[in-house]
Amino acid sequence: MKIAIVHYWFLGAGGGEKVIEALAAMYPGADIFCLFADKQRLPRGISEERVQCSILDKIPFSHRINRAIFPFYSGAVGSFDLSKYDLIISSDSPPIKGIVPSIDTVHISYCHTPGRFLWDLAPAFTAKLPWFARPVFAEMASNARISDFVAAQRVDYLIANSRYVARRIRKYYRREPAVIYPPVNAVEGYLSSRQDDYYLSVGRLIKNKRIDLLIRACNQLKRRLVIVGEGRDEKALKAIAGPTIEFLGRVSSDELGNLYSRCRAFLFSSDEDFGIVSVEAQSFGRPVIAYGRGGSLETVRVDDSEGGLDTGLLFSEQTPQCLADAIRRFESQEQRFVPSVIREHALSFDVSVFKEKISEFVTLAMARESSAPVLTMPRRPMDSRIPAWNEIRGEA
Amino acid sequence: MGGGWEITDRHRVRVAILHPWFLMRGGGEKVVDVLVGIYPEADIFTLFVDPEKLSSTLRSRGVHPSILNAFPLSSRLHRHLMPLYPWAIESLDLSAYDLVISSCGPAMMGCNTRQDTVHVCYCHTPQRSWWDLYSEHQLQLPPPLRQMFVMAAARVRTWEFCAMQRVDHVVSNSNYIADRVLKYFRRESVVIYPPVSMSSGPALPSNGNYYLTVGRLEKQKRVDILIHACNQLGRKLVIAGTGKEEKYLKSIAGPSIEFRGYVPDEAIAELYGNCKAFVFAAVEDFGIAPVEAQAFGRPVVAYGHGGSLETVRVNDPQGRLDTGVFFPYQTVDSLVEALHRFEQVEDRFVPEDIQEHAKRFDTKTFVAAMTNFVGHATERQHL
Repeated sequence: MKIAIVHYWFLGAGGGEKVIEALAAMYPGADIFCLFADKQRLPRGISEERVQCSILDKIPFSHRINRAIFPFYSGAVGSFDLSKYDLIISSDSPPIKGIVPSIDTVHISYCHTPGRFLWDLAPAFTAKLPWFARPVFAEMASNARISDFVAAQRVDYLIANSRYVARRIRKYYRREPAVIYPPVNAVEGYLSSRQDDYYLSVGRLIKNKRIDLLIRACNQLKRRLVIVGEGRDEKALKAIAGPTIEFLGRVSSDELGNLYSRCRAFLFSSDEDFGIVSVEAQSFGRPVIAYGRGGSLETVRVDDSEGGLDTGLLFSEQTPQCLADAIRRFESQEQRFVPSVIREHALSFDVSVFKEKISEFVTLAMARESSAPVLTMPRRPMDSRIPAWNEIRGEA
Repeated sequence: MGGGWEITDRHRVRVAILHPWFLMRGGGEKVVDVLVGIYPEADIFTLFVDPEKLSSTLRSRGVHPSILNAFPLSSRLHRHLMPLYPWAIESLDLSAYDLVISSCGPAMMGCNTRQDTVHVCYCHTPQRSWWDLYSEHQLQLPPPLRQMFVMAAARVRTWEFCAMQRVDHVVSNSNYIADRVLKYFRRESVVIYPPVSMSSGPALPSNGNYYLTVGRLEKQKRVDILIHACNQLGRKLVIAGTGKEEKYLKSIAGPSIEFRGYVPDEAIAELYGNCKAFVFAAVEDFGIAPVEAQAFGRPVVAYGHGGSLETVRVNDPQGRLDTGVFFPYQTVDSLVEALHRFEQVEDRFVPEDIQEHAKRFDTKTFVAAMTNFVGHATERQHL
């Protein structure tokens, strides 16, 4: 079986690259295609020869201006020769899933999210543009939405990286995806016998991660907070930080492990599609205090009424006050969080689980393609949920 | 009434209502009025607005017109701005709303909503000039304009199709429109008939000896068929309404035809209440006038096509009484034959029963069905 993996770009380590790392390890014979690649920063285990870049990669400075040349992506994606593959797994940011495979090729798209600047965040994105760029973006985005929607219709099987993203796929593409959580190196976590008195935050220091909330809440409660990560907002965040806040910048993975394993709890206030760091913290047996929206609703277990199996706490509003209340609530019941239970939960998101599920999915998809040449589309979910006419009118 | 949060904490639910334009007072605008009654806090967005043509409720609360409304002469040239509708709709920022009801018409289904916003599209009809009547419509245009229209229509159709797929729930105003929505947008929809206000008293036997028709005097209403048939049979026909075709219609009218022009509400009730039957030859998506006539207990003689098939009850499978008579072809002969047929069975129609049937299309029924539906829809969105 000839397999191709199509990814958007390799320009640094993010969640998407971890997915490719796992897929590349699962299918060592697979060819990897992408728009751009920084050959120095390929994921572990992927050799330079395996990666084929689009023509855009040859443009000088293309790595730096990658987002600005978005309009040329679809042409570049169309230039990949994918005709000889039996299976293509695409890792989608638009328009990667817009590849046109031949009729016998099975195309599975692992969707990190429908491009948010095109869909749910389009108004916010437009507002940030200078006025003269807005009509240009509006026209481009309108066309891109059509191609994105149409491209999603010709993918054979869609996989969403969380139930949260699955809902977004249903809404904007009107297709029913499977859900397979992205791979986290949970098995590398460990339990530490030593516990220190600090809360931890890990992540890029950018606006939508809402690290400002963590700082304000810890300022107010005078709790120690250790912040790992760098980013555009570093200066602004340092300006509001009180004496109990500590910025560590970038740390080595050994040191990060130490930090994770000894913290009182991991604080997480952003609305993420999945949220890998919060699972990483749990893999070290540490509880998570997270904003109760998006991926955290799936990665943090809070459903147990006794509380013995909970792996963290959720807070309902993205405000410092609400987080401060949650921290106090956490401190009053800290004893009930059991590190081994938390780690056990994190292991359900381990790379091995991802690989197992993907491989099972691929087997099913390939079997179905070969035994059932005519694929019947499932009914669209929303339509079948519409109550019958007489039900609505209150008639028998 | 419906369930879900929409009842329990309605104060927290932010609602937006979208309607293509407020440039006349028709059935679509009436739907918006009623929706505003259900959601009094709602913000209303539209492409074009002519403040003079707003109903009093809407005028007092204000509507938000799109940027296209600022074009000079936009209210007259609005049809020619059609290639810009997608742009105008997509640039609306609706991220603050939890429930969006789009009333369409052209383009309104294409608004961008947040992931957890419930978007219900109440479809009056896919825009006829670029969907079902496209071939006829473009042929009427002068050649240079036609080329431009053909290109723009192709783009707008693609866009509307994709846009309709991201609507959460589609509601059609009749089974006739539901078929059209399925045909052009491949979406299944639920049918909720539009609201017809019923201001009639108890249904009484008629004491007039005339047939009645009410509506704008336009070509596609086919009032000419009614006139020719009544000329031929020498029956009295009262025509209420004005329009572009008035002159022509008067020129073909015989002595038994009476034009009343614009008739105010009280007088029209009198006209409805006393006619022998309401006659109707148009193909409508729904057709409010025949329902109004039935609300006064009067039977309807209608061309058996389009919305009339749903608003007039003939040959009911459950054996209920007929509320009118259909004629099978949109021709004078067919109507003459139907009038003969009607006059033979005229005394078998029961005014109270006809009035009861019309209640199916009452504003109250619409409000209950819509509230209930939106309740179901919002509950499910949050599963």
